[in-house]
This record gives sequence, C-alpha cells and structure tokens, in this order.
Amino acid sequence: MFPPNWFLPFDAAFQVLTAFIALAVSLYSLHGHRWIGERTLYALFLAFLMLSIGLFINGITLTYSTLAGVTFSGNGSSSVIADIGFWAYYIMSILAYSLLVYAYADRLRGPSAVVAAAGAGMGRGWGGGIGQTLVAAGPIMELVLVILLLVVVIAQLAHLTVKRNRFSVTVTLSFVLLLISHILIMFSSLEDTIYVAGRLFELGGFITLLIMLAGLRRAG
Amino acid sequence: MSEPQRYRSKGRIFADILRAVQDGPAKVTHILYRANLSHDRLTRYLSQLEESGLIVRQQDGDKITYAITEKGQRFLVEFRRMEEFADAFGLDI
Repeated sequence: MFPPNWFLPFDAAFQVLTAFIALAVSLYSLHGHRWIGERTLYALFLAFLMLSIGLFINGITLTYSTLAGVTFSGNGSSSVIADIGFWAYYIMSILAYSLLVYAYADRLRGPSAVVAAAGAGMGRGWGGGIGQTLVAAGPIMELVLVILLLVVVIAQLAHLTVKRNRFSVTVTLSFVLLLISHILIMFSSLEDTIYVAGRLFELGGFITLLIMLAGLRRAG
Repeated sequence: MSEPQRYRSKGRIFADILRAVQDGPAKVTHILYRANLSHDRLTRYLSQLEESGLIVRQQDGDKITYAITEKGQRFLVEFRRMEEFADAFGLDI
C-alpha cells in the first residue's frame, strides 16, 4: 500500500505537480462560473479545488516522510503526522470525487439521485477511523475512490455514446487513467512496482486533463 | 425529428438573447423569436442584461432596439468556452 522508500521524493514531486494541474482546472471552472454563474461550473471548481488541496497535502506529507525518515514497512510504523496527512488526502479526494458523482447525478436527475446518495454516503462513511494506521485503512480508502471513479467513468462513457468530441474523449481517458491508478495502488502491497505504476498512471491522467485544458484555451 | 425541449439555465437564456442581437441591433419581436421566450420573461431578462452592461437599449423615435456591448461579446466567447468545457465532463450549463 505504501511507496517504496526510493520512490518517496518522486512521489512527492508527482503529487505536487498533479495538485497544480487540479488547481488549474479548478481556477478555469471558477473563471467560467464568474462569467456565466452556472452551478455546474461551481461544482467542478469545488471538486477540483478539494482534489488539489488533498494532493498538496499528500505531497507535503510525502516530503515530510522523506525528510523525517518515516518508513512504510507495513507494520504500522508511520508517524502520527504522516497518518494525519494521508487521512486528510483521502478525505479530500473522496469528497472531491463524491461531488463529481453528485454533479453527474444532478445532470441526469431522477434515477441517478440514488447514485448521488451512495456517493455522498461513501464520502461520509469512512471518516470515523482516524488513528488507525494506513496499512489497514489505505486499501479501503482506495476502494472507495475506485468505486467513485468507476461511477464517474461510467457517466463519461455514457456521455460519449451520445456526444463525442476530442475534449470529452480526453476527459474520459484521464478518468480511466485515474481509475486504473487507484486500482493499482489498492493492490500495491503485492509489489512495490505496482505502486510506482499506479502513481505514473495518476500523473498521466492529470497530464491528459492539462492537455484538454490547453486545447480548450487554444480553441477559444 | 426535433431535439426534445430541455431546461434552459439563466446563463443559456442570456446567451440565446445575446446571439439574437450579435449581428446588429435588433427589435424586441426579433429577439422574442430568436430566443424563444415569452414577452414578460424577455422584458425581465433584457433589463437584467442591460443592468449587467451586456446589451444597450437604443431608441430612435418610436423604434426601440437592443445592441450587444463589448462585454456582451466577451460573455458569448466565455459561454462558448465553458459550454465546451462542461461538455467535456459530460455536464450541461
């Protein structure tokens, strides 16, 4: 579940980089909301802002872990500060993806309200275990993220069947990469390289989002 | 077969009105037709757009027309961008 020690500095750098990309998407949504005043854009702004904050926290936590020499041996040896940082990252990420799921459900209305309720419930349901080490809780949190991302990917794919353009394909690809990354990280206790691959997929997902954003700005 | 009628947000209604006057000053009847709004609703939206500086009211004798401002043109550009942006996420604005 944890990064191999040699990968910690890279992991921290990747997290900060992805945090900046999420922040860029968030600010773009806010810019649009200020002009158009649509709540959909506000939901995107909030979701990506929370994602960005979570990723920044994770980046800082990983940097601290590197500098403080925290080891992730799988025996619950991580420090309290690192634990709090990782919990904050997971809570922010779960809230962010729950908000995205809510936005999709709100678009579809009716039957999808169930999906929204499920998403919101998942966002709240895992907040009570602070104090456990991430050895035990990490895979569960990753599983929650995987379920939320799965809903997002299904919604994106459903949208693609109705309307397809290069931007929607790019966003779908980025969410698919993020989904794969969290699946890999969930199973990373099996092998260190799985964790590294997961983080690379995550970086790829966010870079794909950045490419979409750049393409939109050029097209505008 | 025509596309089914869908909910239009305030931003989209603003954009529809602005598109109706984009090619030059237009009379209320022309805007009514192009933006597909009732007279009462259009009157309300026109005053909101005027207050926001997105359109200007021009009077020449009895003839009243509305013209898009530079800020209104910018709104349309931003709306198009944001429409594409939200659409990329499979969301409507």
